Amino acid sequence: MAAAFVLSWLEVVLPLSLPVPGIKLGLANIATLIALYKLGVLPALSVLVSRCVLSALLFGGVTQLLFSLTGGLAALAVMALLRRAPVFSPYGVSIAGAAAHNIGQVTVAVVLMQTPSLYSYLLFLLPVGVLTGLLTAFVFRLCERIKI
Amino acid sequence: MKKGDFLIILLIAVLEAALMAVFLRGPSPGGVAVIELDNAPVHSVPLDGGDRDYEIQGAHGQVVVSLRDGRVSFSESSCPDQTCVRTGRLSRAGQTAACVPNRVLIRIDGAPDGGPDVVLR
Repeated sequence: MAAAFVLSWLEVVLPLSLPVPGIKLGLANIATLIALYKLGVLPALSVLVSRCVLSALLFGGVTQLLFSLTGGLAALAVMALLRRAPVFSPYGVSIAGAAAHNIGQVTVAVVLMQTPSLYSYLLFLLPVGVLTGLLTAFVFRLCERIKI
Repeated sequence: MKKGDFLIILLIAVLEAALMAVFLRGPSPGGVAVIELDNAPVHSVPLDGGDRDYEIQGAHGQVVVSLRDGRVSFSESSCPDQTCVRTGRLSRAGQTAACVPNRVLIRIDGAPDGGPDVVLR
């Protein structure tokens, strides 16, 4: 249990040091996924919130915090709900999380700019989200094997 | 991967198809370009009007919105990144372009007689 905590702390720090836009998001979500499956919703929530706050303090501003928190919370809510059901593997959970993340973030943009047509951004965000969701779950599976 | 995973992917694909139906329609005859400053409309321009330029004082500086051959675009802008200018020409209902530093938005609406935005069959 303690080892798992240290591991997820490490993974929070690592993504922050690799700020390549698309990839950074994917790496950070691995920590969320691992925390969710191995530790539970509340630890995953604290990993998510601390990651978002730290990242916004170091790199971005309030706007970035608003976007990342909304996307992250939406993703976590969806993933927490789905992971209990045996019909879904971490792959499906991760993909659903990625989709929820993108929908959440675009919704923030739509509300801020009062422009529903910004939802058109989902046309390319959703397919990319499926790919990153698959990738995140794949890395999660790898980590599972390494730990055992 | 399990059965439920494919269901999730299918749902996302359905959502994607719905988005395409809404946003990727063909050229809209009688479309109107609405130019907004600070979320308030300042110009309403029928796309089939003659070629015209609109100079708008935004929060950052000046932008020029141009109508050419039924297509509207940001031809000039005072903003540093020029994302708006690089967005290109709009001609179809639902398309938007924005200059965020200047708080200027161009939006193409359907026919001014109030044609439907979405048709469900």
